[in-house]
Amino acid sequence: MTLTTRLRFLAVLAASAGLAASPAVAGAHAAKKRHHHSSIPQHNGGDHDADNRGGPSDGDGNI
Amino acid sequence: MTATATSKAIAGAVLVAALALAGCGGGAAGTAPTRSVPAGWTTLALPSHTASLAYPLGWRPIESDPGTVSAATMGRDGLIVGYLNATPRQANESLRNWATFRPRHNAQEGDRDVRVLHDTTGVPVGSGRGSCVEDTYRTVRAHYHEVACLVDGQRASTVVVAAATTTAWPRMAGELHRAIAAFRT
Repeated sequence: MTLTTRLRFLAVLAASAGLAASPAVAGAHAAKKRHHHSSIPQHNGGDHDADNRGGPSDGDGNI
Repeated sequence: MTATATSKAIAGAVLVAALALAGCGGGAAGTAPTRSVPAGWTTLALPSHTASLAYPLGWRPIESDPGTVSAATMGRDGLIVGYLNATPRQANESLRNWATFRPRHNAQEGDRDVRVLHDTTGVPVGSGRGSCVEDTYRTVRAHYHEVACLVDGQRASTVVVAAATTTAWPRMAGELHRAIAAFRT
């Protein structure tokens, strides 16, 4: 394995490790924030609506 | 009929009666239902102008998702004690599936201990016809009690949510039902 090949391998490995680690770090609360399919951003697409901060659920229908 | 089914049937009748008394169910024959916005209340229109939500004196509009409107009354530490929201229908919710759609959606969004108290389908609600669910759930900050309705009106199909902490619900339920009764879409 050349030095260049080895560096590429390490780079891919590091990137994969980062992707794999993020869900575990994010936890259950962040999982609530990931469901977006609508034209109306939900769960803090930069907004500050009540249901992102422990308030009541709004009327959005997307998951 | 089991005790649970009986209690749900009674609770459903109570919800229908509450909506009717608030003006949602229409008045007795020959009387006009009281669906107008109560004196002193303020009305918020959706940005799309397809619905309007009235909120009581002392409440204030709060930030909500783009395309939606919300109003609330707050407690200590910024806790939302009373809450109203109007949101255009977004997904595959319908009058027919609302009774299961809403609680399932709340649970999928992270609410815990979601408990349906009762539901109604295809009844007069505000300016249209709707289906409503009354349920309780826990968030990371509080235990809430809500009535959430999907309303099909002349202009649009819109969701209206009226909620309060379970502690505040007994004193706020009347106002929240009136807000649903005054809802226009």
